[in-house]
This record gives sequence, structure tokens and C-alpha cells, in this order.
Amino acid sequence: MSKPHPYYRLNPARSIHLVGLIDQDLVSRVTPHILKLQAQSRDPITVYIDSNGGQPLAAETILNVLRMTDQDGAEPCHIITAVTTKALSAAADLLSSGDYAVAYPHSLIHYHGLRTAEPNLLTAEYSSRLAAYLRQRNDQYALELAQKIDDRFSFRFVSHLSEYVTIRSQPGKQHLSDLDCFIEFIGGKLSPEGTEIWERAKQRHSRYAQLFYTVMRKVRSSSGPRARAKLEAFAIKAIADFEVKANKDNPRWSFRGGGIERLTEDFFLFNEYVTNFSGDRLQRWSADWGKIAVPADRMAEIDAIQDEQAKKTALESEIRSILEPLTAFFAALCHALQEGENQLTATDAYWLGLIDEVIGKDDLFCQRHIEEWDNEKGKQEDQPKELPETTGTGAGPSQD
Amino acid sequence: MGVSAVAEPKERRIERPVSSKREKEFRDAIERVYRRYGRDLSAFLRDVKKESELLKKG
Repeated sequence: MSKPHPYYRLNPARSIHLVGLIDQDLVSRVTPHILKLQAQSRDPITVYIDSNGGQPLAAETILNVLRMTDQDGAEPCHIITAVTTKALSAAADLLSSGDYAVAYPHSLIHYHGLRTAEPNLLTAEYSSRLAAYLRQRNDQYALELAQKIDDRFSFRFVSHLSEYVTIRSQPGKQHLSDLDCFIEFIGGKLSPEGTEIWERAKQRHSRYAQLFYTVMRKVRSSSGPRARAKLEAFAIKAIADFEVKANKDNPRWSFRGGGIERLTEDFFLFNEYVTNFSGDRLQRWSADWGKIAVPADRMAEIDAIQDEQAKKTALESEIRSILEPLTAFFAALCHALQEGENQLTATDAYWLGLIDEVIGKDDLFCQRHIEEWDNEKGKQEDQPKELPETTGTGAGPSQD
Repeated sequence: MGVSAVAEPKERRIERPVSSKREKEFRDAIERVYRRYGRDLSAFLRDVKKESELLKKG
């Protein structure tokens, strides 16, 4: 029998309700309530959401208040977000920002890019600047979304490894990589609207994967440490080469005729990709998922390495080969969600890693299942069971 | 929103504050599941579902 864990359970007794428009007025109304809950204890706070969205800045303010520490430097309260009926636009963003995000099964979740209403008459210069601004903000939101849902997306990937074995056992699919299988597996789980987003993400990914792979290879081949600006200059040169090569069959293509804008986009995209590997992400991913994500035979080889530093390096190198292509696809998905109107069911949001759990859907695996599992069984067993075959073709796109 | 509000894209990284205690708890939980099921988390989920159904039947 499982034991309920407070970090994964909705608690109406310690909750706030975000209903209606998310604006400064809502911030003013909920802030005293949040502060009271925080003063009572540092236990989790449940945030119930039923909103068409509103101002991103107001949503961010609510999130910041929810994450506040106290004068003694206490840890922020764990935030459980739950959509009851609908979470659209800024409300969808708030939902995904929860430490644990839950949806009721019939709720609606809607993502789109930033929009603005202009009171003034538009000129060509103004429109051009505004378009650039909206594009930049969409890219920034895509990056922030990626950072918020990274753990969930990784969890989807590693928790269905055995399905990839099944997919590869089908005729003509033996050569598929783990990422190829993952894309096929998730694609089969989505509603028609969810499938549309997935397809857009796939299209973006084919470009991103080539760009990241080409530029990263060139940047890595540059020897020795360099100043940041020099590394950026090197990346820009590599991107320029990439674009020239990609457009070699188009005689009308030029940097002056639109190519320079693409180069700028690519540069920020590449920067975002590199940022994803900064900090301790690789180490954290290795520690969390290393044993599960790395094929058993390869893991045994790594475990046999005596030198601890060499062992760590070998594991991180293995994880990097899984994580880099997965991250490229993940980036493509986050950008696809900032493009057009994306209406999702609760189940779609689960499969896309935007939420953790759909209430009442026991067949959708979530982190709660792991932490609430009666571990007495785990303690009795020392040896892991192995998969029927090695899944180790890496996560990268297949070469065929 | 006016264009005067246009700003350079900031390079900021949103860190989800995860305490080391929470991280350890979660890793320990994964480790326990791993010891029992190895890499096959689908088998783990099947057992979780079975238990859940038994619980519903009382």
C-alpha cells in the first residue's frame, strides 16, 4: 500500500485560489493569504487555478511571493499547482511553474506566444521593432519554460525506456535511437491538437539538431579556454558557415536578404542550448537518472572503473550523449509551444511534460508513484532486474 | 505596451529552488525502485496499478 506524501498531495486546508483574470488586483488579493500560510508553517501550499490568463508580470509576481523565504532564511514552501477547469496563457505558465503540477482530467490548458494590444497607430519602424521585441520575448519565455519543465520531460524519457525496446523490435525499426523511439512513443499518445504541436516540434528539431551538432562540434574543436566574447564570435562564424551551407541551393538567399535575422535567431538559440548544459544540470541528471538511462552493460563497465574521478567523467560523457539530442528536441518543443495557439487536454499536457499528474489517471506514471511506493519491497531486493535487451543506441537521431 | 519598453533579451536562468534534502529523498526513492525493478520502470508502474486496483476493490 502506498503512503501519501505531502509534497504530491493537494491540500485545500493550505491553499490559495487563482480564479479569473491574473492582474495586479489578483496579486493584491492573494498576497496577504500567501503570507499568512507561510507564517503558519513551511509546509506545501496548493495553488488552485481556474483562469483565462492575464498579465505575465502579475503571474510572475504571484510566483515570486509563493517562493519567498522568511527572515531566518527558511526554505521556500513547496508549491503544488492544480488546474481545476482551465489554465490559459499566463495561467498555463503558472501551472507549469509549480514544483508539482496537477490537472483535473477534463481541464483545458492553453499555451501561446506573447501578444500585445497597441493603442497607437503603427509605422513601419514601430512594427518592425515590436515584432523583434515579441520574438525575443517568445524566445525568452521558451527558455524559461524549458527550465521549468526540464525534470518532467526527462522523467517521461527515462520512464518509458522499455517501450523503446518494443518499438525497435518492429520490422524496419531496429536502427531507431532512443530519441527516435521516444518521439514515436509520445506521438502515439496525443490528441489531434497535441499531435499538431508535436509535429511542429519535430520539424523544428530537424533544423535545431543539425545546427547544434554542427556549431557545437566546431566550438569544441577550438582549443583552450577563451574569453566569452571570443567564444561567441567563434559560434557566430560557425553559424554563418552553417547557414551558407544550408542555403547553398538557393541562389536568392543572402545575409542581407533575411539571412542576418536568421543568424541572430540561431545565435540566441545556440546560446540557450549551451545555457542548458551550464551549472550542475549534467551532474544532477547523472545522479538522478544515470543508472536508469545508461544501458546496463555500459553502466557495468563504468562501475568497474576504480578511479572515482574517471568514473564520474565516464558517466557524464555517457549521459551527455543521451542528454544533448534530447535537449535539442526539448528546445524545439518549448519554442513550438510559443508559436500559434496550442490548446491541450490534461493528458496532452502530461505527455508533453508540462504537468506531473492527471488526477484519477493511474496509468500515467508520475514521480508521486515513486516517492509514495511502499519501499519495503525495495529493501528486500538487492539486485536489479534487467531489461530483456540493451536499449543502448543512445538518444541521438539515427544516422539512417 | 510601448516599444519604449523594448529591452535587450536578458540572459537569466530560473533556478527551481530544490533543497538538497528533497533531492536526496527523491534519489533515495529512485534507488529503492531501481533495486527492485532495474531499468524497467514500466514493470514498476504495472505493479503500482495492480496495487491501486486492489485498493479500490477493498
